[in-house]
Amino acid sequence: MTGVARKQQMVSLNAASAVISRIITSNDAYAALGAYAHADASMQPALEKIALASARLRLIMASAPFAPPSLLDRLAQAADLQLALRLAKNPSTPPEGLRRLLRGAPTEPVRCLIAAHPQADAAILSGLSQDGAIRVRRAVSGNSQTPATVIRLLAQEDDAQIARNVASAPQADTQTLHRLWATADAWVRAEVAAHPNCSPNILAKAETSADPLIRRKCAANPALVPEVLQRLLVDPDDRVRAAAVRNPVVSGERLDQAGDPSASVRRLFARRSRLSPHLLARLTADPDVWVRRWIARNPDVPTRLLEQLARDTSMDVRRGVARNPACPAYLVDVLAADAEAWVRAGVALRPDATESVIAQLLDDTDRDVLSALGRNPRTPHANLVAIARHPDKDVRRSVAFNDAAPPDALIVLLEDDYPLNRALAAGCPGLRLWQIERFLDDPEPQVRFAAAARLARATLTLEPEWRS
Amino acid sequence: MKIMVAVKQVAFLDDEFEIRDDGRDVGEDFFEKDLNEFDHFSVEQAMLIKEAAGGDAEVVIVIVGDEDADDALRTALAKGADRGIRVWDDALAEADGIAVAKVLAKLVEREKPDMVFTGAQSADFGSAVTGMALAGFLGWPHAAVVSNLDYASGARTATLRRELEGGLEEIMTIRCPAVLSIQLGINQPRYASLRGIKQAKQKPVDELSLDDLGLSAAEVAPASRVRRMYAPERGKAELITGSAAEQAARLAEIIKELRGM
Amino acid sequence: MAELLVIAGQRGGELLMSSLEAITAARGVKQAGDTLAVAIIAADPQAYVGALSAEGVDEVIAIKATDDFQPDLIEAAIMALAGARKPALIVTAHGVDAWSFAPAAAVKLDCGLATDVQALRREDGELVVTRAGYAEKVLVDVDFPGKQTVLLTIRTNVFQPASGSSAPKVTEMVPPTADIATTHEGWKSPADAGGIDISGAEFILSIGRGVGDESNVEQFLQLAGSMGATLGCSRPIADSGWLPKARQVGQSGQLAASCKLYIAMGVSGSVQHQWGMKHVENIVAVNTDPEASIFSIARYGIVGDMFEIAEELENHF
Repeated sequence: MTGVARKQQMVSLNAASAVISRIITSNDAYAALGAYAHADASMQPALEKIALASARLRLIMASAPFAPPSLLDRLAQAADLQLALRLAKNPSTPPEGLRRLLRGAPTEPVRCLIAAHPQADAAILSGLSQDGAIRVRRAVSGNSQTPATVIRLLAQEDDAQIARNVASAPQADTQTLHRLWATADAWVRAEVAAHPNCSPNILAKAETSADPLIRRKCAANPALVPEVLQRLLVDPDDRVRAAAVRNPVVSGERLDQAGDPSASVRRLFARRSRLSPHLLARLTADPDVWVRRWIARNPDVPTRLLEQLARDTSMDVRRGVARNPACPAYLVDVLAADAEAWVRAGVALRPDATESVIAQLLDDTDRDVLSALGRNPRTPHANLVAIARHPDKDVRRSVAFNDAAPPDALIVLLEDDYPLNRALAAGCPGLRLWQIERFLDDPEPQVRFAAAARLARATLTLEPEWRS
Repeated sequence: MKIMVAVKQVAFLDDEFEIRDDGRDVGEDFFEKDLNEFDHFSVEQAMLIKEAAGGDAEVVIVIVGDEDADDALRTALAKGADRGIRVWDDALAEADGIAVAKVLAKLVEREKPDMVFTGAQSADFGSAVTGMALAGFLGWPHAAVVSNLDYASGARTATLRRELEGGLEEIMTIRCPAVLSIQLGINQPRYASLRGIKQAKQKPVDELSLDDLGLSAAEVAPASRVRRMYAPERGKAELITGSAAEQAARLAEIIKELRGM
Repeated sequence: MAELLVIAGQRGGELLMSSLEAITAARGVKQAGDTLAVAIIAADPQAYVGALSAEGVDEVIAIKATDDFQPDLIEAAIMALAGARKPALIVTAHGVDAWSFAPAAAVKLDCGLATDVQALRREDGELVVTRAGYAEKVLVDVDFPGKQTVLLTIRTNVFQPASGSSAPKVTEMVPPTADIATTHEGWKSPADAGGIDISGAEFILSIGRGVGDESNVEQFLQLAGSMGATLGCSRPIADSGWLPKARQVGQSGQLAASCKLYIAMGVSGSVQHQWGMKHVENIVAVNTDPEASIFSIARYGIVGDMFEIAEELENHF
C-alpha cells in the first residue's frame, strides 16, 4: 500500500467511525439498521442494540426484507412464536437462521414457511420432507430448491397437490415423471408433457393425445425434437399451434411463410426472432392491430417496414416503433414530433436520442415525456435541475433514476415534499456524502435508512470525496 | 373565520398478531400508528379554503388521544394548519365515535368555528360515526361522504356533492356552519415540506383534560362495549391451487362470474 | 314484547334494495311477541308498501313528505317514532345515506349504536353484534349494556334481501316538523372519462415489478384487452416509462375508485400501491412469492408465475 493510499484509508476509517458514532448518538433504529450491514464488526453490537431496542422494533426488523441477514440470524437465536413467523416469512433470513428456527421445535405454520423459503437449502428441505404434517411436505415439493432425491421420494405420496408440484419441479427425473404419467390425472399429465426431463416415449403419446391441453403442453416442451414440433405447428387447435409457435426449437426461418389463419397465433409469430423477410412483410401489413403492435417492437424488422409502421394509424403501433432499438435516427426524428404524447415519451426514453431530439422534446408539457427525459442520461444537466423542480412529484422523481444526474439536480430532490423522492435521492451515487449526512435526521424512516446505508457503505469503500 | 378539523390516529395491524390476554383487543406490539388516511383530505380541504381566503382563516386541528397521538396531530399541523388541541383522559381509553364526538362538541363550543371537517371514516374501524354524531350533539347541519365542496370562507351556505353508491353523486346546498365528513379523492392532499415538518414541532398545541372541558367520565361513556375480539376464520386469501393451467381455468371462471360474462 | 323498527330508504323515488336486507337482519333477532315495523319517507310512501310487505313485517309506517334525502327530516322521524314506540332495536342499511343520519339520530336518542354490522344475535338474552376492525383483520363482538334502544346500521350485501309476503298493518304518519338545513339540487352521474380511466374502471388487471422488462408489458396490455379489463400498474413500472403515469395505481398515482375486480400480477403490494386498491371487494393476487403482502388483502390468491398464468388465461378469452 502506498503512503497516499494508506493515508486515504485512515481518513476514511475515521470518517466511517464518525458517521457510525453519529448514528449511535442519534439512537434511531432505522439509521442504525441502514448502517449495520456496512459497519465494522466492532460497531455492530451498539447498532444492534438500537435497532432491536423494543419488542415492537424486533417484530418490525424480523419482517423487514431489507434487514441485513446477520441481524435476522441474530433475531433467530431467541425467537418466540411471533418472531419465528416473521423470520420464516422474511426472504432475507439466511439458511443458518432458518436452521436455528427449526432447532426451536417450531409450530406447523412456521415449518410450512421454512419449507417454502427461497433460502432453504437441500439439508433443510430433506429434513422437512420427513415432516409429519402434509402441508409441510407439500411446501417442500413446491420449493424449486428441493433436490432430485427428495422429489423422487415425495412423488410416491398419494396427494394431488404434491403430484402437481412434482410434475413441474425442475429437478424431477425421467423415472418420476414416467410414474406420474401412468398414475395421475390429465392436469398432471399435461405438466409432465411439458417437462424437459420427460421421456420421448411419453412425448410421442402426448403429441397424439386426444386432449388438446396435453398436446398444447407437449408443444411447449423445450426438449422436443423439431420433427414433432413441425407436426404440432399444423395442429387443428389454435391454442396448440400458439404454444408450438412460442417454442424456440424450430427456428424462425423455418416457420410457415403463410402465417396462420388465427390472429392470436399470428401475434405470436410477430414476437419471434429470425423470421424470413417475406413473413415480416406480411405481418407488417396484418389487419390485426396486435400483430402490428408486436411486429413494430421486433428488432429484426428492416428499416423499410419500420417506416411503414411509423405511419400506422394506431398510436400503439407507432409507440412500438419508437421503442424498437433498430429504429433508425431519421424515423426517431419523425416520431419525436408525433401528435400522441405516449409516442413522444417512447422517443424520450431512447438512450440514442440525439441532442436535437432531446432539445425538441424538452419543450413538451406532457408528464410522461418529461419523466422519460428525466431519466435519460443524455438530457442536459440544467434541464435535469428544472425537471427536479417540476410541480408534479412523479415527474420530479424521474431524476433519481438517472445515472448521469448531477448533484445540483439531486440536491433539489433531497428537499422534495414527497418522502419517497427524498429516499430515492438519498441512495443516488451522484450525491456527495456531506450532502446526505443531514438526512440522518429526516422525518421519514425510509429516508434515514437510505441515507445511513449510503454513508456507511461509502465510508468503507474509500470514497475519496468524503472530506470534500 | 375559523375551520376546525378533527383528526384521528389510526392503528395498522401486522399480518401476524396476537389478541391481548383479556380477549378484547390486540397486543400493542402488533400495531403501526399513523394519521388516518381520510384526514389528509379533510386537512387539505381546510387548507384550500384558507388559501383561497388569502390566508385570512385559522385552521385548528383537534384530536382525542394520548401522547402517542401527538405524532398524528403534528403530521396535520405540518401541512400548514395554525394550531392544535389534544384532549386526553384515561376515562377515554375505551371511547368510541360517540364519546369522541361528545368531547369534540365541547371543543366546538369553546372555539366557535365556522365549519368543522372530519374524515368520512377511519381506516382502522371504519365506523363513520364521529363527525355526524358531533353534528347531532351540536344540532348543526351535516353531510357525510362529501366528494366535492364549493365553500368560500365565512359564507352562509355551501354547495357540495355527496358520493353515493355506484359512483353517483348528489348535489346539495347546506346551511353553514356545518359538520362535513370528507371523502377520499375530494382533492390532492399535499405532502408536508421539510420546513413545514420542522415548524410543526413549534406550533402551539393545547393539551386539555376532561376536567378542563367540564366533562365527567360518565358523560363520555361509549354507545357500545367490546365483548371480545378475534381473528376471522377466513382472514387470508382463498388459495387457488393446482397447475398453472388449472389455476388459470379457475381464475377465468371467477372473472366470468363476477363480470357476468 | 318489544318493537323492532327498520328504517327503509329510497333514492329519487326508487326503493333502496338494502332496505330489504335490513329487514332480514332485524327479523333474525325477532322473538315471539315482538313486532317488526318498517318506516319509509317518500313523496308517495304508499307505493313502497307492497315491496316492503315481506315475511315477518307486521307494520309499514308511511311518512308522506319528499323523495329528497334530508337527514334532518329522517332524524326527526326517528325521534318521533322512538318517543312514541320505545323500540328495542332500530335497524337501517349501512349505505351512504345512513352515514349522514344514523350517528346524529343515535346521540339525540342517547341509545346504543353500532355501524357496519355483519351479524347479530342474542347471547343469554342480550343483543350482541359483530363488526370488523383494524381494516377487516379482526372481528369484534359488541354489546350495549344499559341501553333501552340500540341503533344498528347493517353492512350491505351480507344479508339476503327479505322475501315472502305478509299483510302488514299500514300506518300513515304525519311527517314531524324539522329544521331542514340541506336542499337537494340534482344528481351527477359518474364521469365517462375517455382514454385511460383507472378511477372509473370496474375491472382492472394490474402488473408490477414481476413483469421484469418493457418487452413483456405488451402481453399484459393484450390480455387486459381480451378480458375487457383496464391495465393498471404499480409505481416502478410507470417510473420506468413502460406504461403511462395515467395507469399507475396507488398513492403516487390513481385511486381505483370504481373497481369491483382487481387482478394484481407480480405486484408485491407496497403500502403506496395498496392505498389505491385495498378497498376493492374482489382482489386476486398472482405472485411467485407466497409471502408477498398483496396476499394479505386479496380475496383469492394464486401462488405462481404471472407469465404462465397470463398465457393460460389468454386461452379462456
